[in-house]
Amino acid sequence: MLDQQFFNAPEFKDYLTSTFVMIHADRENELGRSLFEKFAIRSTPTVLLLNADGEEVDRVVGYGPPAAEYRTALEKACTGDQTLLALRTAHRENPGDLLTTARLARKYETQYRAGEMAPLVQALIDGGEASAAITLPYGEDNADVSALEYAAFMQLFEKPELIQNTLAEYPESVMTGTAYGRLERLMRREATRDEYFGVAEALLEDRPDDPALLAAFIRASARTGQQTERAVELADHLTSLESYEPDSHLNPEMARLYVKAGMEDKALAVYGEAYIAPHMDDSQMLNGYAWFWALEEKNLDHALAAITRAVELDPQDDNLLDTMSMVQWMMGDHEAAIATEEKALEMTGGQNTDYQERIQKIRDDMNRAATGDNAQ
Amino acid sequence: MRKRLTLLALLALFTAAACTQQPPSLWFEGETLDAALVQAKAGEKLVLIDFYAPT
Repeated sequence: MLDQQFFNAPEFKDYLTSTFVMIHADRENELGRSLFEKFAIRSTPTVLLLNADGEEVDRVVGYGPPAAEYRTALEKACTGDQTLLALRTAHRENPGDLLTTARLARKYETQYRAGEMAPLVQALIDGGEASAAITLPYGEDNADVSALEYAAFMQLFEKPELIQNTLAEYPESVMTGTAYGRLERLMRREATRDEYFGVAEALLEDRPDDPALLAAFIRASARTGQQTERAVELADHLTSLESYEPDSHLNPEMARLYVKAGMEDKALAVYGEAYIAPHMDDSQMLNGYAWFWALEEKNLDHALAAITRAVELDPQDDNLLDTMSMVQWMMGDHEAAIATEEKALEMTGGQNTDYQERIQKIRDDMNRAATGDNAQ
Repeated sequence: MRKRLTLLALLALFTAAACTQQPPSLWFEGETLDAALVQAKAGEKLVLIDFYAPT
């Protein structure tokens, strides 16, 4: 999407060519592989900026439209006193300056560099009252958070056993979501699952109506297949709260949970026609919706209506046709599914191996159906 | 006559060259990071590396 909407967009071409020497790095060639390794790139897309001396100026991790905002983010990453390079230099010159320490820690956090963040977080904890007197903006609303509070939540990456203590100390913090995010990951990890489902239960005793905590438990359960009965109970509770609002990340997970528990009516109540109705002009939401129901092999008529609308909105997106083909296949319309997938394949110049494989699978399935052999 | 033919041939060559010439690529086509850094220094630019996963 970054390529399509930003790098290949004519309106940014002059800016890009006049400001940068640009390298396209993927793992499929030697230079790309060596760069992924050299800069320890953990996720894509990541855009990394180097000065002519090879020093990392900053990096921008992830992409979300609009592209014009991405350009602004890129410009901010190039110059000024808040770039990674500027903060590292300031910290090297004055390591005791807690404001710089907090800003650099925050920079590493946004770039998912927990290892480099950890010693800075410890320095802020050690700073005690001096850290408590410093504030930095946090979250979408740029709420003021003290550097000590920030560090307390950030240390959960290294010391997750402190989740309960930290939440007890800062019960109303704007950073509680960070603790819940950590908790959810630990509930999803097999080695720590039992312990942290227990921690979540203990927290729910004090915070039974906390939507973010309920959501963390439900998502972890839906992803792992653990604690399904309890998660269904919590999902029922969450959707009955006055504060409940549909959420594009949570509702599909709740639906998955309900389907798993054999409660299709409840799945459709949280992620059915009523949910998707306000999003009929959003091709990506429609795509996610149709793909979800294709995989569940339920609600297929409406999934087809949704993906048909998405293709009308964005006819050049091969992903949408891929989803439409999947829905058609699950509906048993093999010929339509093959024709649609072939169209998607054609859009990629015949190069997409996933689409090629899917066409073959649909053909095999069609042949099996024709010979009366239902084995997959 | 001969001179005229030569001019026509040259004109055809230029036309062919103009038709086949591609616009300069947005992306660096060298093989090493060092080469990109040298180019950045010469042009007073930054090196931008786009790490992506091909779909």
